[in-house]
Amino acid sequence: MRAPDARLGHLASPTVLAGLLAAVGRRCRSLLAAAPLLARRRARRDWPTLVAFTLVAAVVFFLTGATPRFIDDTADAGARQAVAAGGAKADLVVSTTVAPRSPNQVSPAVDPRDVADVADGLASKLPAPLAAVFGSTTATVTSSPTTVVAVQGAASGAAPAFRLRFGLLTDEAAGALELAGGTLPTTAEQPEGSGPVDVVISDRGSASTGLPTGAVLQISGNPPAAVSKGPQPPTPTVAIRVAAVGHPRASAPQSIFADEPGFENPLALSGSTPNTEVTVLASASALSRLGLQTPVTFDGQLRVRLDSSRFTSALIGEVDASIRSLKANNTPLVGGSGYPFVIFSGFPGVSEPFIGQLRASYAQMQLVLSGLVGMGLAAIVIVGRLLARRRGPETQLERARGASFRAVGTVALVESALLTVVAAALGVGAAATLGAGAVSPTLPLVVVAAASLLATPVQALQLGGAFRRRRRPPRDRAARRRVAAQAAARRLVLELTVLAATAAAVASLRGRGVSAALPRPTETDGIISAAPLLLGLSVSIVVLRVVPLVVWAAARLGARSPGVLGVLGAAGAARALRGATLLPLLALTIGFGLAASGSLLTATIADGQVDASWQSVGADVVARGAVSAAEADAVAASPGVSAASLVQLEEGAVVDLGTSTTAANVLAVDKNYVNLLDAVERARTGGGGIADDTRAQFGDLATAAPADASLPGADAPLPVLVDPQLAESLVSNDIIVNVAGQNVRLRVIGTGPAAPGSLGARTSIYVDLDQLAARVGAASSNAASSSAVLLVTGNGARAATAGLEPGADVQTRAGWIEAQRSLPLVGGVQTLFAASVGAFGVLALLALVATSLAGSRDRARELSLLRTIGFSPGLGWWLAFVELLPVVLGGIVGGAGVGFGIVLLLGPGLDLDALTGGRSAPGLVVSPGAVLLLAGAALGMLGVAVLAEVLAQRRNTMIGVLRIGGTV
Amino acid sequence: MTTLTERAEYGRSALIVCDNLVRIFQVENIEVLALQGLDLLVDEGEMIAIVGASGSGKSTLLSILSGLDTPTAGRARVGSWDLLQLSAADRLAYRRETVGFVWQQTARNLLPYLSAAENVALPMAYAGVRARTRTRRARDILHSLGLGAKADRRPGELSGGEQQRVAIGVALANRPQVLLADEPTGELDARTGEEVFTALRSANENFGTTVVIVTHDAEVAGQVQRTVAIRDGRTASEVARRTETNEHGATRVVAEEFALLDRAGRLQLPNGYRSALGLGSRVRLELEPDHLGVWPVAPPPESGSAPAAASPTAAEAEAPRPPARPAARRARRAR
Repeated sequence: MRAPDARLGHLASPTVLAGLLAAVGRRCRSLLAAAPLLARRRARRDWPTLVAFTLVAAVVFFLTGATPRFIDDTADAGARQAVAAGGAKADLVVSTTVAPRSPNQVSPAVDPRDVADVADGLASKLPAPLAAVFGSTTATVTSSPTTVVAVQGAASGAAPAFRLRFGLLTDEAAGALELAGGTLPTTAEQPEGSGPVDVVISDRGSASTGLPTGAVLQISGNPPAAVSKGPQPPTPTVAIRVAAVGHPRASAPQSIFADEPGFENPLALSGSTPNTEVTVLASASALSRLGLQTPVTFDGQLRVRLDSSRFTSALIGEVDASIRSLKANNTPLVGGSGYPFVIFSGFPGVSEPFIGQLRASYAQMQLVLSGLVGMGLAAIVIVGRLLARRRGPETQLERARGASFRAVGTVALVESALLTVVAAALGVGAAATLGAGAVSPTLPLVVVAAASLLATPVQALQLGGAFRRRRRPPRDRAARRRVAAQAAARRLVLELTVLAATAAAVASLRGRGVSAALPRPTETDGIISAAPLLLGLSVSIVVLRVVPLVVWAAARLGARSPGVLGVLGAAGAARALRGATLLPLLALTIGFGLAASGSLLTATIADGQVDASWQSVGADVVARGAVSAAEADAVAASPGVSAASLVQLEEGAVVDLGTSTTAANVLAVDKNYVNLLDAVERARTGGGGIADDTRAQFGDLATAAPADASLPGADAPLPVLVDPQLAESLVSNDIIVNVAGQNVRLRVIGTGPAAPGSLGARTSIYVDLDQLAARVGAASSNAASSSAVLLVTGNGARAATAGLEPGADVQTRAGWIEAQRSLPLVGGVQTLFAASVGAFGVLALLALVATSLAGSRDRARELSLLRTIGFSPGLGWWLAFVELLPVVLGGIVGGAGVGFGIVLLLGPGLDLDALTGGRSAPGLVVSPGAVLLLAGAALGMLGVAVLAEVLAQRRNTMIGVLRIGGTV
Repeated sequence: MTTLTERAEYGRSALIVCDNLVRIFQVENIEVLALQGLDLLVDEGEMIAIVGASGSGKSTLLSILSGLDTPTAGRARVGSWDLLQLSAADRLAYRRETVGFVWQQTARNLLPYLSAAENVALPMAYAGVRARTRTRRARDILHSLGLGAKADRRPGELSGGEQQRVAIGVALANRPQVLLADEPTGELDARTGEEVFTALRSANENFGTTVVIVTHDAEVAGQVQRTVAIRDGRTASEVARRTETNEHGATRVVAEEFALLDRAGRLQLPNGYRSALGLGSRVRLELEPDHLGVWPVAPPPESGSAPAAASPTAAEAEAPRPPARPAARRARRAR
């Protein structure tokens, strides 16, 4: 055994080394020596095909690069819109107890002078997701209400008609105020117990209370210590002086005084005196003094405002999780301070609906993206095959001359790499330019790049026989038949596997829907991505099995026709199906199918939005606010108004169900409400109105009166209808509801329709307006607890209600639809569907033209031969037409199957209601018109492909083709 | 045991050996038996022609010998290469080093976008020859084929004959042992075909390359040392040519036709012979001490006399005559 160094020495000997180097050099030369020359010369000859390949790949790169970006941008815009729409509800609010420092203070509380610092300190402690969307912090301190003892200059003995709350005048609040008079209270430390406490009041507060600048009023101080003998000392008072009157600047954020209710607009109180509550702002030191000298207590709110413009679709979920986590355990944010903090936020209420909507829209956009990628890949492979087939004979010649498959593949790969780089630069560059930002390398882009790189080399090698098994065919005939049978069985098993996978994907998606698909709404769902492609593949498989039978039958008929075209057509169609037609058929099927499904889903969503608008608004126009019965009658009598109804709405009334209580909206409807329902139903369906049963039930509300209805508070129950949701909760038909402070006995006589969203989001109870008014009397007119809603429908509804503004808040159904469609997610999905129809069309056209050109050389030979026996050269298009027609017809039939399949099979799982804004999934709109339109477009593409064939044939001459086999 | 020994020794000294070669093509449900047990031996340095009717299996045989196709059964050997056992790498090396190929269609032999010299240099590039050597050797080959002045022309700028000569140059680029040509003059006129044949003969004589030509051209078939006829996928007969010089110094070419006995002992008789003697589906064999007699089966005897030879018709008179007995003996000895 030789030592290792001896072996190394042997390897390092000059002879062996030279031999090794020579062998390596020979191998390298064998692989690469011919590559530059061949690549250069071929490129010069085949430049039109190379340009076509590059353009197709560039288009696919563009679509694959731009679409995910568009999807992400849409999702991010949706997140920003959702948070912005949530407003202050989405903020993180930290509530705490505020009290001035005192030697006697036992409970931990934040001193008013420290509140601002504590609020500022929150920003640095926020978890990362919240820090990423952090906007600002504001601190507010609000006192308990305090009664005003006396106002300087007012009539003695007359109790002021208002009460006060004290709020904190922060630097931010001070900067946001524009003074009408006086000077802002100083924020410097005031000596304790001396002089009046300076406050600032809003101009509306000043007008409401009659407190001008300089006014002084007295509030009660802390009661003195009780004495054992003699009269008790009087309770001292603390003087409050209005130092300034002002109002928020126009440029100030609207939300800045939102946490100081009663400052901008005094609050009306029920009861007689005081009937108004006003908040005045004072400095932190003044609040400390009030805390020490008066019995008022303080609550503090530290509000962390979230900047909606910083949100992304990914962040919204993380922020939601962070807030939930902080609500459960606030230690990371306020731990160690020693103060009692409680965290509130309405963010989950903002994020949850959005995430549901995001899941649905993302799934639908993902559907389009996967279709685009699949279709694009098919187009790249088809054009790559065109290139490979064009070079097939030369590849065979090179192989015969000693080229290895590696050498053939290397030349093709080098060329393909250059084309891919150019195509990627064009496509991704265009996507980045149009999308105004860099395109990140997503998985679809990588897949497209790989396909563009490998499509031509792999197919060149495949056509050259690189992947053919070199196994010798068996000599025995039975064995050969067995081999053929095995191949047929393999194909059948493969096809059945694809069909089974498709069925499993569809069943899975239908079963679980997209909502439960993934923990994160913006993750790629493999099943959603694969479903359209699998459907396309399955339908293509079926079509490939069925179309030959149809073509065979057509060929039999064609062969019997007297003219030559029938015979040629039959032969051409049959030949087309013998070739590699799966790929073009698959491309056309997927493209046509997704375009069809896109159109159908777009129509379904649009139709669902209209339906949802009726569910949400309930009429063409809804006016809320001070609308009298006379005004309602005037509107009902206006031209173009088909129905109008005035509803008195009592929101959130407590309902005693006997065994439990719940909250419901009481809808006191007039006699016109049933007519309104009927008109709405006619407008919605374009057909018949409401059912007779419904009409009769609403009629019973007014006619099935109690025996002694004239007596207010009588025990006789009023007849009511309840909506289906409340009906399920009933244990007895007799219920009690508290309306305007009175308990009213009700008897459920039937189930009415679910009330529209404009009449409140809760479950509903329908009662006759007149009967309820008679029962509760004047309480029904209490503006603070109930409101009037006028619902109007008909073409003239908008004009008829124009006079009700600005006293009433008017909402139109058209406006609701417009707002719904302009939501980023909804608009994004519809934009993508519309754009994808065009993209699929372009890719299908490219695939068809490439398929046409791929067979051009064979047809040139055929045409030349036919011309020698008298065939008119003008009929050359017929050869291409009959070859492409089965593929196009198969694509149309298959595509229609895929389109309807996606809508009917996958539609229920796509949670379309999240995009329509409705309460349930919209009814699927299957419009044959859209499919027929697309079929017409497909036939137009066939015309373009045949035209391309005719133009390509112009390069050939009959003599040239017959002599040298085609244009070189 | 004797059979095994015979099989092991069959064609041991030949460069090309085809032993009971079978090739079956299957297209969908149709089977085509292209070769049905073909035997062929070609010695090194020989130049032979293979003739036969269309569909007789000539081109299939050449495809197998060139390593482009694989036989279904039998044995095929060229030099040290067993063509039934070639791996992909072996097949590549075989095509690079051992065989060169010329097809019938002139346009199919050359890459249209390369010049004549580049076409000739291409196989050398695949074989890993250095660039400078490739260029020099390509020029030399073209010069030897009389195309030195047209080395930089592309195929489209050359005549059909010139293209075929360039194709021969391409086939000879890596100095193969065997040059296979499938109807190399099929698309050419007689004069141009003669130029191409001269180039093939030059390759045979100057480089010692064994040349196998498939042809229909009687002129070509008449100029090679041996012509093998294939019928129905089997070798049927062959004609050997030799040059004799008489006592006056004059030379003449003597052609002798042999029927071939295959490895299974089968013998194909030419149609002319069979019709001349009225040989039907059954014949009577008589083994003599120095020959084998083949007799037509006589019609039912009427008088018990011996069968009489039929008088040949005019057409039959032109048919090839049975080979002379001494020649047949010589042929057997050669085997």
